[in-house]
Amino acid sequence: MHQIATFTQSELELLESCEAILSESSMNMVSHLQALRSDVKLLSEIANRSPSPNQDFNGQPDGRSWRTLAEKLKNQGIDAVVNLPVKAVVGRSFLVSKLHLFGFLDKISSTQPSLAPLQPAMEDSYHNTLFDLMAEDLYVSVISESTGGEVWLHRATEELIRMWDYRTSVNKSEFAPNLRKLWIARHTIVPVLGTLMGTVELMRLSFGLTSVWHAFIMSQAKKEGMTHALEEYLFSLSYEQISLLRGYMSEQGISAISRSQAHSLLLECGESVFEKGESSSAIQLYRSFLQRQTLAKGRRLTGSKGPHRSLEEYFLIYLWEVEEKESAATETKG
Amino acid sequence: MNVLDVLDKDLVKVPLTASDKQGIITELVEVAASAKGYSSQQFEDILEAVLNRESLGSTGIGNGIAIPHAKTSVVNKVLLVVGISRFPVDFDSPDGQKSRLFFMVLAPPSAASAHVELLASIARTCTSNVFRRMLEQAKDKDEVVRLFME
Repeated sequence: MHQIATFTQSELELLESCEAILSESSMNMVSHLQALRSDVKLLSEIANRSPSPNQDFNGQPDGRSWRTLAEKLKNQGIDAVVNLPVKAVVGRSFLVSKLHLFGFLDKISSTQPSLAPLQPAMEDSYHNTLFDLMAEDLYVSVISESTGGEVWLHRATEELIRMWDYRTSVNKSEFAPNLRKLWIARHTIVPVLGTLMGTVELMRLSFGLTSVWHAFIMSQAKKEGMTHALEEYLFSLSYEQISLLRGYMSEQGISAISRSQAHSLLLECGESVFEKGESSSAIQLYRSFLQRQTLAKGRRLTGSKGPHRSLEEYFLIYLWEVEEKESAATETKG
Repeated sequence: MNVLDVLDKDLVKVPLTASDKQGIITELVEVAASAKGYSSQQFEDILEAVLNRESLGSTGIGNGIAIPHAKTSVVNKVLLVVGISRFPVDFDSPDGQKSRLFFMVLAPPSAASAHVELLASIARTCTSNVFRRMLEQAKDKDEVVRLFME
């Protein structure tokens, strides 16, 4: 049976510890925390009562399959799909509710010194939940933009369905581990900008990642779309903003620009910057991720210059294509 | 483009002798200028560009590696200078470790992304602790080149 685990063991321990600490100083906070926790539990229960998309796909008379789901997402996009499985819709609400719960804890930890030792665990829980949401957004985006003939489409849709089923089960390893590592490595890097070569940013990022990432970069580095997407990712600036800055630097004859100079210039030109000082680095990464996805889609639709996919999409598709090739090679040998 | 495509024995120096950040950068630029026959003005232009970039934020990567770099019209293609210091030099790296391995990258202003593969190639080889240790212990430039080729 496909069950969402409301909280992992470490999350449960964190919540218990927070409640115990807060009960000594503020019963109001404890009540609020318990209410949030109860909401998360309720949503996971509703999601768990809903049939798994996999169940629906097993010989139902209306002929639903992973292919029909992929076809629906491809042609209509997630926004227009009103008959998505309840488990998918409620499951997402469950994740958002969980995010707010850990966000609340993280927020009050700055005013409750006794919670300070638990702050790293709160951040971890928050980041894990946020990355779950990002992974779902990414999978839906990639499938929505597929043409239907891609070798990885079956795999991608199956993984999305599994994500909807489990939403991080205690018994299941985290989804899209390579993507998570990419986000974990990136969210602590503050881009310098400088020459806009991405030298320091790429090197610091790469040192936090595995050989899979290195192989991806080496194999895709000649593709203009990917390198532009990589720059967007490293700098948290859009392709258009990077082009604007490069143009300015060329006109002014300057070889390097500071982060604050670049942001001031962009703001003067009426541009907004993805990374704003007041938000957490993980939220800034999510904001950057959503904006990059949106911009890539817009460029795809209009045929404009610049990356037509986000770096995460390029990376995910690369991973799937490699796995498909390996599977095909194994089958051939067999 | 990976490390082997740009690695030139004449652009490798073992050991570097400077003991501070500015000294290391100057020494690396001297290697480039000497190997490529740059004029003193070109040397100054490159040095200014690299130091200017360094002033905006450390190019220390961590794990004992620093990657000073600049865009400069003095070069017409991506250039890599490799230097190894016997003694660690403070490059304000985020992990607090001093640096012994230096990869100076110079690129023409127009090189928007040609160096990405090069950087990925450096990162791929240098993420190995064993490789870094071997590089730090390289006796001369021939050994450095040989280590990369292996």
